[in-house]
Amino acid sequence: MPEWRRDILARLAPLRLAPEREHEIAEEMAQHLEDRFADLRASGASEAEAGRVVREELERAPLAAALECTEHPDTRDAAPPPGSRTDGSSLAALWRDVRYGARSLRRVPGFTAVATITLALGIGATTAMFSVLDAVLLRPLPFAQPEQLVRVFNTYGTAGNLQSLSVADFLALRADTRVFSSVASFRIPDNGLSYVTGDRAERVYGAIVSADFFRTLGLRPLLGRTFQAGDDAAGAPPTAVLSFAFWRKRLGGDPQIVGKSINIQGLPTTVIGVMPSTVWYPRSDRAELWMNESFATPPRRGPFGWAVLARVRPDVAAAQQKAVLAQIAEGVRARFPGGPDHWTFEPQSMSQRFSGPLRPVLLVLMGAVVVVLLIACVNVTNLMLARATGREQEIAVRTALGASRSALVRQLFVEGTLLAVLGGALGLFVAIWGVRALTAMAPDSLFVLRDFKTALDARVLALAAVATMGSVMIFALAPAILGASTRATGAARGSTDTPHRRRIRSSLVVAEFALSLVLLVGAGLLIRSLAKLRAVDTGVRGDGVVTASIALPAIHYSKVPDVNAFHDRLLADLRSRPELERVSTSVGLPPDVFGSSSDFFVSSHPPADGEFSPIVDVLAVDGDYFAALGIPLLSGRIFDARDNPDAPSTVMISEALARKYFPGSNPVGERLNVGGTGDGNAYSIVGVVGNVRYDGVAQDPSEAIYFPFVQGGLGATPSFSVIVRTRAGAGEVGRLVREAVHQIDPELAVANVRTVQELVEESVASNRFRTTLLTVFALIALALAAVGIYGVMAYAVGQRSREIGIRLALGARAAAIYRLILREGLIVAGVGVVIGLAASLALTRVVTKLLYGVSATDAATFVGVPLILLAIAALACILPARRAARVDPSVTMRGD
Amino acid sequence: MITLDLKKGSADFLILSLLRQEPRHGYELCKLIESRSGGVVQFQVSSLYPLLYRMEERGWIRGKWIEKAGQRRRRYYQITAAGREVVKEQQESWLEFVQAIGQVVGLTHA
Repeated sequence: MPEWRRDILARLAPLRLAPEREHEIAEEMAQHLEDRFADLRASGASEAEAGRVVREELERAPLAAALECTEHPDTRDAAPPPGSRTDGSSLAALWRDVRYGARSLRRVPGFTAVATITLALGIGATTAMFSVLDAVLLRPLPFAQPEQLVRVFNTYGTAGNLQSLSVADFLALRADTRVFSSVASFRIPDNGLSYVTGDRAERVYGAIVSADFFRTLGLRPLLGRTFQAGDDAAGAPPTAVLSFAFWRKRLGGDPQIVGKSINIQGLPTTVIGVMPSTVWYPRSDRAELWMNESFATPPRRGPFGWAVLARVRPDVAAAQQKAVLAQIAEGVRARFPGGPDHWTFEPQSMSQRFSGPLRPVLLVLMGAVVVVLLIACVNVTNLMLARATGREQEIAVRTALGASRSALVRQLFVEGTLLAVLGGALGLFVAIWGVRALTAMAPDSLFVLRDFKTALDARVLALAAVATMGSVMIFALAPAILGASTRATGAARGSTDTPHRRRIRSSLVVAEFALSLVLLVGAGLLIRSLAKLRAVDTGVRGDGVVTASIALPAIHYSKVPDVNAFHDRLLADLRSRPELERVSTSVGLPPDVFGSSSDFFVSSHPPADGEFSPIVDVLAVDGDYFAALGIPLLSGRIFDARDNPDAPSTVMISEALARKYFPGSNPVGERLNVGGTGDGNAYSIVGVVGNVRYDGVAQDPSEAIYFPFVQGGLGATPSFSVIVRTRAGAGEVGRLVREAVHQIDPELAVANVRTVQELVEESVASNRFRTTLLTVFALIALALAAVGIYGVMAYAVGQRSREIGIRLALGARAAAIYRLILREGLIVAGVGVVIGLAASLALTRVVTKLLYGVSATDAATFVGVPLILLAIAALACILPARRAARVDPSVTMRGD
Repeated sequence: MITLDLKKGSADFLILSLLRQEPRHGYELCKLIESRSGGVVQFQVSSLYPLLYRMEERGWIRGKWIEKAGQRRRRYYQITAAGREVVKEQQESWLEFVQAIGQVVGLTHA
């Protein structure tokens, strides 16, 4: 006689009953079947025939589903199963559906957790990224009619090569009112301004602007007034407009401040107004106050160091604007012959100016976020689909018990909504946290992220709601319709998985893999690019080198001998410390602080008429600078005691400059004219040193001219860095430098104590930022895709356990089963990878702009990433495969 | 053949009616229903026991393991007071229903 107990126990397993109850039921039913079998035998049936009939009767209805309602204590109170026709009022019915939905979600904690987390990641990431995108790209600039505002640049005609303007340019633009109703200039002193209270000098950061600055922007003051014509006239007393923060923090929010005098740069300066807290232009970290400057008619066209902004008259067409700007440029050229004759003015809209540098990054990231959201939705759809298929028995029984199809759809919909609400709520937390993380992580170079107050707002919340409800529609309704449409009679015999639905699920996983691959390739390219940037040879041996910056306030250090006295005493002090091996100073630092720039020419080859002198980086350094940073001397000598303030002016040049302007000859002993013609601007070259990058790691090594700091000539500023080669740590060096500085001038602050590695890291911060973001998104996508393929394979194994059982019974080895499952999983993943590769190749041009030293079709990335993805897919298939290989043939062959 | 497990109201009624006379075990109930209906109404293990457990849960019947000499223990079901109420009610409504149907289709009890 067949052993029925085991059969029944297998069928009861999904109910997870208490063992005693389970055995009681099994005993009772087994007795029933044994009696039935015996009766059939007694009536003449063969053993096989009797066995077949009894089995058929056992299989007539799904036992577990039928027992569900009575055997689970938590369902006892819900008298009729949801969806049955005895439902009372619709509200009560809804409440019952919600409770039932919550219960059924609780019964599958794994599914619920994965689905909720998937949704939360998708919704949260989208909302956070959209908030940032919204702040940078979509929200209007905080100016009156921002669409009329432009920045004006000089350009040589090659697109994107934008230069700042000169005073001559600015005055010419301001004088011509055909195109611009208002023109203003500004510049931001790099080292700030000294704000003196009592005998204390502090560094504050502000902008030096022309009188029309606030009027052009259309910004009104909170107190007092802004600048007006006459404030910037030559000889006018200095005036300042304060930021809200300056007023509150440094002046205690004095309501009577307007008309009072404060000391800026050693000059009594009248406060004429205070701006509201929303005003941060031109840069939030450089907007403590605004000062005026006066413009005398310049003697020559250069130098070029002013930013110009203008308000375009509303009725001016682009073509007309272009023509007028060309005329103005022509006028400037005529007035200052000998300057650059092929330069023109190029306007750039303010909004483009702000979002321009960020746009490619944000669009790539937004694309990534949309992909993650898509994958998240696909994943949940797949989960729901698999669950719906698995629940067909339950649905069939409910249908049999009289539930209408619409009631079943409603029930599944309620379940989906519950999931979406859970996921949406969690997603909101992810979003809030994400925005905070994004703005906190954003490097200073992406200051726009800080300048705009990025926060979740109502529109973004609405977007989250739409995303949530959108995914509910996608993932809840599709399976509800597919699931409820199965014919109850067919399904009642056991769960079935139609090939059609299997195909849908497989194609969803294919899509997930394709999308993940695109993201991973993008992230891979950025990672490789970042690695290349970090590995760039900046031209210095940076290990063991610590730097610190010092800014001497102009009030006490306005004369070169004063600066030199401080400089020399500080160096002498620090050099007396045995733990500091090499001590030096420089106004510039690799990889991206170049001090200043200037035009120059080789004295023996003055530029022809109309030829423009090249512009190079100019740095004032102490002679030990090269040894401290390990910059090799290639010919001639290093600055030494001979290059003192009383000696003739000398310079050193970089190899790049030497090769370009002295090809095939030794430049040592030659003379350069820097910043002007005539003997007064001529300097002898005493040495050539190796190339150093001062314009950023992604730029070519700088053509640089070095001046001796103590000669106080070009490039020497009262702000400089101390460079120390030492075995001591940065903290120790910072302490020693502070101590030394304090002994000379107790009012001076030492800032930015950094190792050279830190300087390099800071200069690639925005690269690192975008790389980190894209990598995080790609990894989320990868995790979701892995969950997706795992879900599909685990479900397929469950469905095919009978087939697998037969194979095992026929002698298949476990290894063969592994191969079977892995092959199936890898085919799905492989198809996704191939499609993803094609999509990546098509999309690479999007990231090209963000790459350094890596081709957008980088072979290593395009080979490595798919391999990683396939490996992950294989890992995700191993668990289901192991379960398949452990299938007990005797159980599964008898099962459905 | 009528698959009574789908018409649960009437299945409850049938089982309760049979249990009104004496306690019976599941297989006995099954055979009784089949023989008394002349094979028209059949129960299988997978439809009968869920029904019994639900009726037990509702307090209409009570199952009890009983060991008789020389036999293994079996579970017998006994009708409760509540069950008797239900069967009475159902009997009435059933008679009404049958009469109503009879009148509609033109059958009359002589």
